[in-house]
Amino acid sequence: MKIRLRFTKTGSIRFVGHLDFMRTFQKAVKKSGLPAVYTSGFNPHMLLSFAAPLGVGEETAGDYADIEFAFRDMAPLSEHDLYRMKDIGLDNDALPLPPPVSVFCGQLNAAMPPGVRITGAARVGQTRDSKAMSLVRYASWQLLLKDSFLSGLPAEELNDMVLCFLAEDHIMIHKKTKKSEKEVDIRPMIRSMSAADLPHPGALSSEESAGVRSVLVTCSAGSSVNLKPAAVMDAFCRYTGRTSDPNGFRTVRRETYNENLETLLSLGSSF
Amino acid sequence: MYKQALSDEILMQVEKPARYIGQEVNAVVKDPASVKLRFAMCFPDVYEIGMSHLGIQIIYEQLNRREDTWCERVYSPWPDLSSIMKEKGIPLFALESQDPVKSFDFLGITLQYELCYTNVLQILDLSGIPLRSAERTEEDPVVIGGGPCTYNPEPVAAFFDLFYIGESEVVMDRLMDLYLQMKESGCSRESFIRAAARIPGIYAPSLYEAVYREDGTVGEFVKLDEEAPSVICRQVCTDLDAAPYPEKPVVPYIRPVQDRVVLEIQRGCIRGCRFCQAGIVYRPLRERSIETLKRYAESMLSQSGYEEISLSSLSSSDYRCLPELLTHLIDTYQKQHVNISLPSLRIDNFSLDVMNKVQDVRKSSLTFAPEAGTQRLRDVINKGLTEEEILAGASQAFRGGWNKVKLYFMLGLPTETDEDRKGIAHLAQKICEAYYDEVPKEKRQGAVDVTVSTSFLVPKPFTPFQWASMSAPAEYVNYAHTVRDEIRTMNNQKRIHYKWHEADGTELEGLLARGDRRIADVIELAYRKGAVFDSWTDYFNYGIWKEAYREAGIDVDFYTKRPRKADEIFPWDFIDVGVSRAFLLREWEKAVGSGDVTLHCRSACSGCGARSFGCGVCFEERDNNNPAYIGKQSLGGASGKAGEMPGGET
Repeated sequence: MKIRLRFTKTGSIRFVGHLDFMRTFQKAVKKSGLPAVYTSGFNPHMLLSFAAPLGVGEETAGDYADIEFAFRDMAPLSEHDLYRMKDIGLDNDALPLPPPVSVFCGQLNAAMPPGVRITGAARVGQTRDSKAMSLVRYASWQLLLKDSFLSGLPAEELNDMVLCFLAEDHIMIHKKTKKSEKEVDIRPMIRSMSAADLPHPGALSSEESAGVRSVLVTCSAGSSVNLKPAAVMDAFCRYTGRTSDPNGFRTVRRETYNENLETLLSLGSSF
Repeated sequence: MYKQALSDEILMQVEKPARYIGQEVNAVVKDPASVKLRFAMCFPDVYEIGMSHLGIQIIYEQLNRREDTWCERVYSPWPDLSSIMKEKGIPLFALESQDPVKSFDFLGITLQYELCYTNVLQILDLSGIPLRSAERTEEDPVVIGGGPCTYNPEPVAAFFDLFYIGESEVVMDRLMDLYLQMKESGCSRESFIRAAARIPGIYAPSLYEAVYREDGTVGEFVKLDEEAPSVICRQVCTDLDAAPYPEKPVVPYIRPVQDRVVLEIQRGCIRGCRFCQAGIVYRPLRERSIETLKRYAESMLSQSGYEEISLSSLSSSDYRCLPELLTHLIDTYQKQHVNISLPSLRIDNFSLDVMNKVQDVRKSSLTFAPEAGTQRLRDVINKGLTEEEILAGASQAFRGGWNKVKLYFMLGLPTETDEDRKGIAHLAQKICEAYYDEVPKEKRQGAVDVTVSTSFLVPKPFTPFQWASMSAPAEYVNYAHTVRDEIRTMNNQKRIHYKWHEADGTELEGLLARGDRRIADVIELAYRKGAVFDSWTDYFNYGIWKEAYREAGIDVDFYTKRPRKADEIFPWDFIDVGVSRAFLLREWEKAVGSGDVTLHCRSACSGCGARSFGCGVCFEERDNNNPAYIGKQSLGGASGKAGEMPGGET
């Protein structure tokens, strides 16, 4: 059964890069004792994939990963489902039933490193377009401003600046790739943008839950069109006539969406 | 709330910031207010290397079992971070609490190889602790060293307050208890050091002075404190099954060198290779029981989520229950998708069968460590492996589908001639021929592939070769060229790849390994001039060291090339490792004299002295049905694991 997990990654673990995070995640799943499915061969690996990689230093309150578990699927299985299961050597009828979602998540959370929490899980079908990675179209970000010019402005003034910025028809940035350097218009990639005083989404204690002056951006994400929130901030700072400071804000992904701006998981209590 | 010693800005600037954040799964976090003693345990190399070291994990487990103690980890910051720390005045911190090392009670530093000595100074420097023990005050932690390099601690003696000669399991608790008791009664640092020196295995260098003769050798080793012991006796754990073991290993976020659960199946070695320090200073061989190992495997795998397990020892084929243990691991864990990483094994039907089960024959290679090119020289170094055994093992493996072979040799061995060096090429050629003889054309999976690697001998204290002289770096390069040129004349030269080590690092290692207290100045000068991470080829700069030799007025040849007399007093002679100097001398004289081999411990006791520890192989009941007792000498070290040195511990 393919299960989609929704998870958060906050705190110091934000400095663990994507590949190392994947390995860490895989070890945690193994440690949890839940029956993840592995490929065969001399170097077996878990059938695990993440929806959207995070950069080093970035946190998330809403990311997704798909993992195959050896649980019996009670839903009607499609031809594709059956083919895939056969391919990885599983007989659906012989598998144990999955535990309730809360037990499942609890078991995973007990094994996760500090800062990582599984906040939901659901069964997803096996069809190819249901891969979390290929569903991602947008992500919403909270950029928590640190000691910089922007955080010192009155909230309304900052919001007005954001609105003016968004009113532009074109927002051009320099994009450097390995091969070339080109001008790209990022305006179509920005769905929405605003400023607000909000706590860090991973804040646990009341002392941390005080609002932090933040810029909220929802923009394109995924394999076809991907816009980094830092690029938006950079363009915005230039728009306001200042050079941007890459260390002037902390980046947290609040949610990941599909093309209809829906989250990648409809939460339920059973698989 | 969790602290972070480094700002986001710095962490985003450096390579692999996850090296510095701590908080790994199973890292031990305590409330500083609830403990009385803070211990910073340091491996003076980069995180990925240090995290792969089992010894530190054992000490970490042992000390953290104490309610009154919090042991944390410290590693060398990579050069990108260390320069930022120096520039900004950020003190070195321990990973768990992110608190400055200087605020700890102890800074323990493990000395695993000589080329880490400048890193030791970097650790002290970045911590804000005076480099020299003599300059430290009550504000500084007690700096204590351990590990294999402490079998000659003299070159770094000035930088340490204490050394512990032996296995942590034995007296660490006693030392901590003494410290706490003295701390509570307000005793000074100096009085603690004096008191600690009376604990067996503890060496306080400040309580002794070395007096040198005119010829530069040690004349006398004088006690400055009447109550300090004259001889420091190595402390040995007599019951490994009862010793602490890291059953909840700390799991790094970034990939360490050893990304797996490590089971130490035994300590010590019965073989007695005359160049090998570990083979002497960890005597006697002591096995862990198979029940204990099965239990550890289960708890370590289930509490870490690791997907691979490996065995650690100096010579795994000598573990008497090895077939049973490997069969158990494969049967139990392969179906749980855990890889079994094989240690170096003697080639026989069992090991080939096991290798077949756990690895892809097409991709894996066999490893042999004949160490010398001719039988004569192999006898000199007491490496009993014969050419017949190597060829028979290789042939058997070739028939089983393998076609890659790695061979490890040493150059610069005592009595070695060009004949022996050329013998390396000849042996490689014979292995190629064995492949074409054994495997019919239609069954060959590509051509045979033989990789020959050589390193240069560094004579180590407490080995029979402690009397041996080294060659100059330029001569070493010539030795390697002799091997290379001879390989080029072989029929199958295109199938033989040759790699050799650099010679400059060897000379430095030789100096540091058998140096005396006067070497401390060279190490400090080299560090001040920028030497650090000397074991990393990218950072090693021998020019700096040569400058330091000149400025300190040190004659390197005195330490490396000079022939040593049988009765010379060595700087490390005040240490008693349990193996007698008389035995070592007998072995040395045999090596350069008759060239006779010495049987291994299970064939015949050669009276090395280790029996006095009252444990291990010296008291085993002989079992003639066990293959461990069959064969008089030889060890056909062969391994399925690519890049692994047989008999080597990483």
